[in-house]
Amino acid sequence: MSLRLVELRIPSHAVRNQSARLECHFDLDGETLYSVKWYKDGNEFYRFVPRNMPPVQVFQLNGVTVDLHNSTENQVVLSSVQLTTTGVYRCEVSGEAPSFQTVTEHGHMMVVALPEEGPRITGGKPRYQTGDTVRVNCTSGRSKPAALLNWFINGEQADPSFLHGPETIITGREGLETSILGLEFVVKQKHFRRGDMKLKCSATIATIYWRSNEESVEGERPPRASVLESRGTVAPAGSRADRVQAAGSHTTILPRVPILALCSFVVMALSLR
Amino acid sequence: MMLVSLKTFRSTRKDLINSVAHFLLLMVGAIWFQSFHVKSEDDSVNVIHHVDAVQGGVAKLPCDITPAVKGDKMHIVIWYKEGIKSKPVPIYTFDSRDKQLKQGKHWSDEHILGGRAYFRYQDEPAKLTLDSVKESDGGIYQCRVDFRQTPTRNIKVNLTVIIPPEKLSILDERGVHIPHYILGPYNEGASVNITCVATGGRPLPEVTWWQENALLDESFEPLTARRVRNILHLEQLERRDLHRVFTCQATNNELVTPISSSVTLDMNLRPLWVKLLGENRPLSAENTYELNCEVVGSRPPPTITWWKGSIQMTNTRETTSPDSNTTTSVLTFSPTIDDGGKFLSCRGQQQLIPKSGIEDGWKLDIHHVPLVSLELGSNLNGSTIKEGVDVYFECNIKSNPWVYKVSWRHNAKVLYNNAGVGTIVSNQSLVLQNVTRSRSGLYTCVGSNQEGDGESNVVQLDVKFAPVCRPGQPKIYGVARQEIAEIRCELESNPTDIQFTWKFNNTDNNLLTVDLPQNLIATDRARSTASYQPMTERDYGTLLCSGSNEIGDQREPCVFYINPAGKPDSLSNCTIQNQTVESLHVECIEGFDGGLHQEFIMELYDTLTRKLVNNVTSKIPTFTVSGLESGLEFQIGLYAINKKGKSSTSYLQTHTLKSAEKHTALTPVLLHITPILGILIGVVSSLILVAIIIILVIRVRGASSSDDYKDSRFSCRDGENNSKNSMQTLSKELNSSTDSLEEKNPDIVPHNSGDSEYQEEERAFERLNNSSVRNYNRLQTLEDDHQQRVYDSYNSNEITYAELSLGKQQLSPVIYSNQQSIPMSVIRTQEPTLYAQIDVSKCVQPTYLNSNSVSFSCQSSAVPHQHYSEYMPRPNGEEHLQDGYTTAETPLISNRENNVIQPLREGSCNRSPMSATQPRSTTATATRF
Repeated sequence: MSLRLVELRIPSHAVRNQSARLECHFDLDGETLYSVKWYKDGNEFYRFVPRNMPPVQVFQLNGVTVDLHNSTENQVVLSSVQLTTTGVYRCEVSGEAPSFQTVTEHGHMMVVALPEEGPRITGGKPRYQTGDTVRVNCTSGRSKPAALLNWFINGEQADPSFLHGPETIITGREGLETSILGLEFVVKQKHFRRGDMKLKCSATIATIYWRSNEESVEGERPPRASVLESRGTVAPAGSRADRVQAAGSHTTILPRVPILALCSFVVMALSLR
Repeated sequence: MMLVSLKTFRSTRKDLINSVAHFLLLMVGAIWFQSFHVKSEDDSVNVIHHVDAVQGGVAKLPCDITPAVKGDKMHIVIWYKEGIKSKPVPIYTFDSRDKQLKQGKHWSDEHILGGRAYFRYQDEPAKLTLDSVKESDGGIYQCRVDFRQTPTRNIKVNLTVIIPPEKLSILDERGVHIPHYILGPYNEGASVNITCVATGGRPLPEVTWWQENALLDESFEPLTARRVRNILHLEQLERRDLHRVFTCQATNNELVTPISSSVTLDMNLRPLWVKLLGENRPLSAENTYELNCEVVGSRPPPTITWWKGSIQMTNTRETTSPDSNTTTSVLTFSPTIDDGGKFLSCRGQQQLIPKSGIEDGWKLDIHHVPLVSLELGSNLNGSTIKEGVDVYFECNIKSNPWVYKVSWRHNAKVLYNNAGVGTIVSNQSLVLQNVTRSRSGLYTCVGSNQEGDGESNVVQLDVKFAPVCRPGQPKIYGVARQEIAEIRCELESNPTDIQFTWKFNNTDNNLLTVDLPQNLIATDRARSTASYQPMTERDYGTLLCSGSNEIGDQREPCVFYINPAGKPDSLSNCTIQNQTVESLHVECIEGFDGGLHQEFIMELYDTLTRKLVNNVTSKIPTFTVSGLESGLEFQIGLYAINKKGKSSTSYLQTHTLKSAEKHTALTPVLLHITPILGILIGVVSSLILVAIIIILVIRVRGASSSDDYKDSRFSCRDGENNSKNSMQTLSKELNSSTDSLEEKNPDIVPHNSGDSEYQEEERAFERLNNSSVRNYNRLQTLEDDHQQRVYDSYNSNEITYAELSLGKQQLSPVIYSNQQSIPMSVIRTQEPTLYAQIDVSKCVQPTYLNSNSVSFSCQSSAVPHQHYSEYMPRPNGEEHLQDGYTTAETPLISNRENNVIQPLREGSCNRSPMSATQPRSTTATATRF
């Protein structure tokens, strides 16, 4: 007989001020349970000992607030996680005396502060002719960790040689971060499609945040009045880490969404292992 | 997070006390750990400790079980060990839920720990102890402490099991193990590499070299996975490095004493110094010396050799001091003369070290007895030295120290420089001028230094000379007619090949000289004998014998007088030598035998009866007669006899001692006389004093006029015949009748030496003081009473008067007894009667018989020499024929003196036979004392 830890579920990312559920599933295999203990960064904060009355015991730990109502011998719910809640969480299950067989597993959880605004594009001109140089910056909203910025030209990932940065600026008491990514390239004929050229900047944080902003630029030849059209794309923050909620847009970028979802799934699966 | 600080057992390797503690720790349990405040990869533990434990020892794994909050209580301790699989496995638990700690339940995994573990919750901090640590015990341990109220504590302990090095090997340069921990021996100055290799140990040990507490070398290097090496390099080993101990040490932890191995350096040392002990003093040749040579500082003991020049000496022995540092060699050495100036050295060498020899030496100064050789002067031929030649010798000397004296010896008698006789001794040569045959003999020279006297070889000096007459041979032969006389002539000569010539010279005819026929002559070398038979009176005379050799002819022939034979001379100087109760012993001096064999006869007559009592015949003039009656008076007649007849008789008056009388009568008489004696002595003494003064006056006066009387004064009348034929009495007496100075000076007390003269005077004086007046009175009467003899030429003023009176006193019984009674010293004073005995030689024979009977026999032993002048030429000294000889050869001083005396003598008693041609019947006879 052997005590066995079946599954440890720890979300890799959790959104600030939301709750997070940590699950620890074990198979006693005939063993009497002595304790289930949860550690954050090696420090015990939750203990379940059936022999004790009450069985659950919680210890004060900075950034950790246990939702006792939802916590059992198999799960711990952390309410309103904060940036300090980020850390290594370990579940330790021990059988009874005399050998106190013990199994243990751990995982990392990061608490994310999402930006309040989407990425902004600055420095663009209304019209470009072939041969003109495009110089634009994309600035993300304040978040933690900093958002990852990407430029797309006409929906295609910009050549890395066109990129400058990113540059990260830490601001505020909480240490939130802003990223700036520059795009610079010489306009060519191919960039115009039906007279238009679309420049898009996306901001992503792990799998839980995605937003973009796109500007459309007219070519020189068509006489009609230039329209600079900017559309933001917002991916609403998901409540679950294992679900990537890609913010859809009405643009042609849409085909990409399934790919992102797939990637998120893979990441989640790995973390759960 | 908790930072647990633990006491660490840190020790200093060099601290001996701690080394002991280390050893104890090894036995009880030695741990050493460090604490780190870490975050592990999975954030599972608060603290990690590092603990070392030595294999086989005890590991102590700390785990703090003290609650962080007061009032809390530890519930459970669980020790996990991380195996090869990453999952920790509980290996030890301690459950104290709902109970006190001491009642807590221990559990351990027997499979892994095997009962070697125990949790010591009571320790501070608590520990899991693990005995008999095995290599497999190393690894990471985790301790989980569950508290009742406070959060669980997790501690990691990393246990490292140390395996000490197994062994050390020390190797020399050749990689050979050093046996017995002795390194070497190495020579002084050598350089050495010593290798220390440690085997085993994990982690690999540090290998270091130490000398006592000083670290010499820490440059170790791994050879293989299990071996570490350190090479110690020693440069230029010095003497002080001897017995240094070098220690190699290997350690890979600080928990237990390092293993070490020490070697002691052994060295070969060269000698420090070599010294010949003592001072370089001169040595005496042929003495045996022991010389000591000391060699210090050599190791092992040195080889000591002795050298004289380049020759090695043997006969040595060696001793080594207990600490082996000093070796002394003793050379037994007998230097020879040739060793002088040679260099004697002692050499000490360490055989194991080349060129390590040191030596000390002396230049020998050998003293020796002078080596002396003598040779005749270089241009002299020793076989051709004649008399008159100058001879010199050279003395060659080798000596150290140089001689302080060179002396010369002739026939073992020392020669002195004497230019007067031609002996010149210079430093190393001897000159003999004008050598005579007396210089012949054996010569040596002697060199003397502090070592002794060295005498040279003997050089014989052989002086050749023509024959001369050997002195001392019989010169006068009394031969009867037709009797054959063997006349022996002996010569001195060199060489002794002599041609003899005999001649006869008749006194009647001085000019006639006849050679003797050869058939009468027998010659043997330097001696020739002539058989001579006088047939007639003309055959009496002188025989002349002379010889010649290659050097020359004899200058003066030997002269032999052939006289007709006659009666012997009478005996003289007869004295009673021994006188007892029943025996008498008489000794006389014999006279000339008349040219024939003579015998001597003593006749003893009783004085009273005048009968012949005894008759002794003897070949020598000494007579002993015994068996006589005691106390009798005797008259003794003494004479010589030969074929020609008997001599005149000398008489003595004597008696045998009385046997009983002399012992018994003494004492009463003495007592009887004593009161009167004092008075008598006083009177007598004064009288004697007066007498002496008178005598002295008389003598002084008499001295001035004595010369005239000297002839007759001492001559005595011959009791029988003073006019005998001269043929009967040969003039042997002349020998004793002349030549003394005393004869010519009557004042000189005759014959005796000055000493006896003085004694006699003294005795006389004493006697005068002691004896009575009657002595003096008796003197007169005695003279009257003089029985038989009358002095031929008596003079009243003669000094002999007093002397004679003393001698012939007939003491009265009173005096006699008186003398007997006085003590010995006084009795001795009585002896001056001996003084009276200084009689007049042969004429007067005063016989002293125990002081009471003195007889004077004045026999005329002096024989008139009628024929003396005819047959005995007397050149100068009568009996000193040899003097005569020498005079002829070389006028010696003594001879000259004789010559000077001669005239006096001739003018006195004896006339020279040569000059006095007429016979003298009254020739003064032996008046010589």
